[in-house]
Order: sequence, then C-alpha cells, then structure tokens
Amino acid sequence: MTTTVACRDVSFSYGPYDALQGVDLEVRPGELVALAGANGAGKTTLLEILLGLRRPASGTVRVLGREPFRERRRLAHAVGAVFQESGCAPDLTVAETVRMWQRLQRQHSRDHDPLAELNLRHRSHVRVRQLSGGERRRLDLAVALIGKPRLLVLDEPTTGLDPESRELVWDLLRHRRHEGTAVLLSTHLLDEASAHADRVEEVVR
Amino acid sequence: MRALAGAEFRLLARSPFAIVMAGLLPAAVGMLIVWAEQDTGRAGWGGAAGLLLVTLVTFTAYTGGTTTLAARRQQFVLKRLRMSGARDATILGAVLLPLAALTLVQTAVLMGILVAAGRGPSRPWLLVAAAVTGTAAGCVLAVVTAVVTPAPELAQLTTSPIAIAFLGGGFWAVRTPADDVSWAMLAVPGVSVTQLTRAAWEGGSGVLGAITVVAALSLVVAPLAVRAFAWDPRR
Repeated sequence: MTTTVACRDVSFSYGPYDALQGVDLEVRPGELVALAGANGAGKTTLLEILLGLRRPASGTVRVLGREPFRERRRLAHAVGAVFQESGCAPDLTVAETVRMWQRLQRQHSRDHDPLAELNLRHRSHVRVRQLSGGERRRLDLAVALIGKPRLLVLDEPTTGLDPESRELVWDLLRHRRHEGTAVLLSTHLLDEASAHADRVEEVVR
Repeated sequence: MRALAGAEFRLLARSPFAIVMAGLLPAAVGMLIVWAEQDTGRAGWGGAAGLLLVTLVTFTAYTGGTTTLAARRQQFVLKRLRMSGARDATILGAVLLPLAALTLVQTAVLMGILVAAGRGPSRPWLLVAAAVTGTAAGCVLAVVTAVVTPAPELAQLTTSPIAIAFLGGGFWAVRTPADDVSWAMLAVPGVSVTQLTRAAWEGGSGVLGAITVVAALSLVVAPLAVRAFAWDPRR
C-alpha cells in the first residue's frame, strides 16, 4: 500500500533559528498519527511543510507521492487542512462558507453534509464572527472534510472544544480512518492522543 | 475564481453604508464641479475628469485594495484559501475584484453626471481605456504595497507614498501640455490615466504610449508582486 506521508531527514530554519532538524515521519492510509511536542518544537512548521506552504531547507517530503511545495495545487483536492487559526472570513455565514468551499472543491454532493456531520446545521445562518471558539473549530473541520480528502492534516483540532464536541471530532476521525483516510494531527493533549491515535510521534527541536 | 469573487462581493455587500457612500460621493462631486465650472467649454473638462478618475483609482482600488489584502491576511483567510487549489494570482485577483468593479461603477456614476450635463467626452473609448488600465494599475500596486503592509491599520501609512504619487502624477499631467508628456512621465502613477482621460475630451497624441506604459508596467510588476506576497501574518 502506498505511503500517504513520507518525510526523510527534513530540516527547516527561520533565519538562524532551527525549527526542525532531521525529522522522519511516515503515515499510511487509514492511520491516525498524533504529533506531540513542547511549544515551539516545530509541529506547526512540519504540518505546513506537508501542506506545501513552506519549502524544507533539506530532506525529502512526499504527500500522496507528490512533492507538496511544488505541487500544492494538485494536492489541494486530496488533502484537508485545519490550521491553528480559523481562516474562515468572519462576515460570511456558516452556510456561505461551506458553499464557497464546496464550489472551490467542486463538491456539490448532497450525500455529504459537513454541517450536519459536525452538528452545526442549526448555526447555518449565523456569521462566523458570532460563533463560539468551539463552533468555529468545528466549522474549520467541516471545511477540511469537504471533498472526502485522502489525508487530513489538523493542527490542534480539539483545542477549545468541550468534552462532548471533542468526542464528536474523535468519532468522526475514527469513521474517516475506517474509510481509508490518513489523519495527521498535532496536539498538546497527550492522554487523548494516546487513547485515539495509532501512534504518537514526538517532535523535538 | 467565481466562488472566491462571489464571496468577496457578498462581504462588500454586507457594508451597505459604504456602498451607498461610494456611489453618492462621485455623484455629488460631479454635480458640484458641473455647477462650479458652468462657463468652461467642453474641451476644458478633460483635466478635471482625469484628476477625479485618478482620485477614485487611488482611494477605492489602490488604498482599499491594500487594506483589504492586509485584513484578509491578518484573518488568515488568504492562507486558508491557498489550500483551495486556486492559483495565487487568482486568489488575490478575486479579493480585489469587487473593489475594481466598485471603482468602475464610481467612474460610470461620475461620467454619467458629466454626460447628463452636456460635458461628456467626445472619445468615450479613451475614457474606458483610462478607467480600466488605471483600475488595473491600482490593483497591481495594491498587491505590491500589501507586501510591505504587515497589518490593515498600517495601510494608511504604507499607501501614502504611492497615493501621493498617483495624485501628484495627475496634477503634473494636467499642468503639462498633452504633447509634452514624455515616456518617462507616463511611468509615474496617475500620469497615464490623466493623459488618457484628457485625450477623451481634448484629443491629442500620446494615447498609444499611455496605454502601452501602464499596461506593460502592470504586466511586469503583477507576477513579481504575487511571488513576493506574504500569505501568513506571522512571516
């Protein structure tokens, strides 16, 4: 089976500051891998390299067999992402946000309702800026799930969620894994990650 | 492009007061100038119309565009959109499209007043060329300025040099006889737009040069600005 994520000896620096040094990582289809590490350890940097937003200083990175920095646009429809910050326009409504992303991903299927999946349907007509932090996090995840991606890259997806919403998210990720989606997420909640992930990889600077 | 631009148009429509003011002000200024310059012959209106067009391009397309790009970056919207599969230039173009359209609508309102007052241009296609090339140049310069604008609240400061160059260029062009405008002058923001607008009323040479310079500069600068654009506010 093809590896979904393969990193070999990846390094990255912000000027003189070494954010990542010699990182190796592999994620297979249907696998859920959690990245743990202290603040500033480089978890977000590694995820952004995998999403093609940063070019590694050295090493090789392959996502679904492609080099993400060069082929970010080709990978866009196969990779769903949740960043630490929402990134949804605050003055669009929840429904408008999802509709825009469905059009961008050319997904108009009525079989999959990301808002219902994340228990946000009743908030469809509310502007994003009026959502609570937890609801906004669930909207981020709803957007990431559009188009049934083969890889989910999630930067602290359960931060700010209440226990019930957290359980909802883990259930959802479990369900997606069983469909073959690979999940790579960063977290500070080690107990939770150990309970739900296949592996917890520590990122050390 | 349509999905992104549609969302941006919707966001603009969420500020009805801003839209009404954007339409009312050019109409009010147009009426004021028609009333104040009743004795000016038709040919003398080119310079005034050019300066008004440069003002619209400066404030709506250029300053508005820079502020919007800086705000969307700070909200992490632009970074998120890079995961959509759209080209970088498409994302920036979609964000700027409503402001570009608003600039053209404002121009149409202003010129509509002049036409209604019997002061319209004798070569309207040159006015269209001035509005389109000026708006395009304003949008390209907005991307350039957004590169060095870390936050929307700083946009007023970072846009002031080019805004002054736009307005100063307009005055410079008006004060220079049309046939004396050199190629080097045309490269100053505002000069080409004013020169084309003036030619729409007064005729004269240098029309092709004005279009060539503003179009060439926009085409050369745009890809460089997109490449240098910072998508993440933390960079």
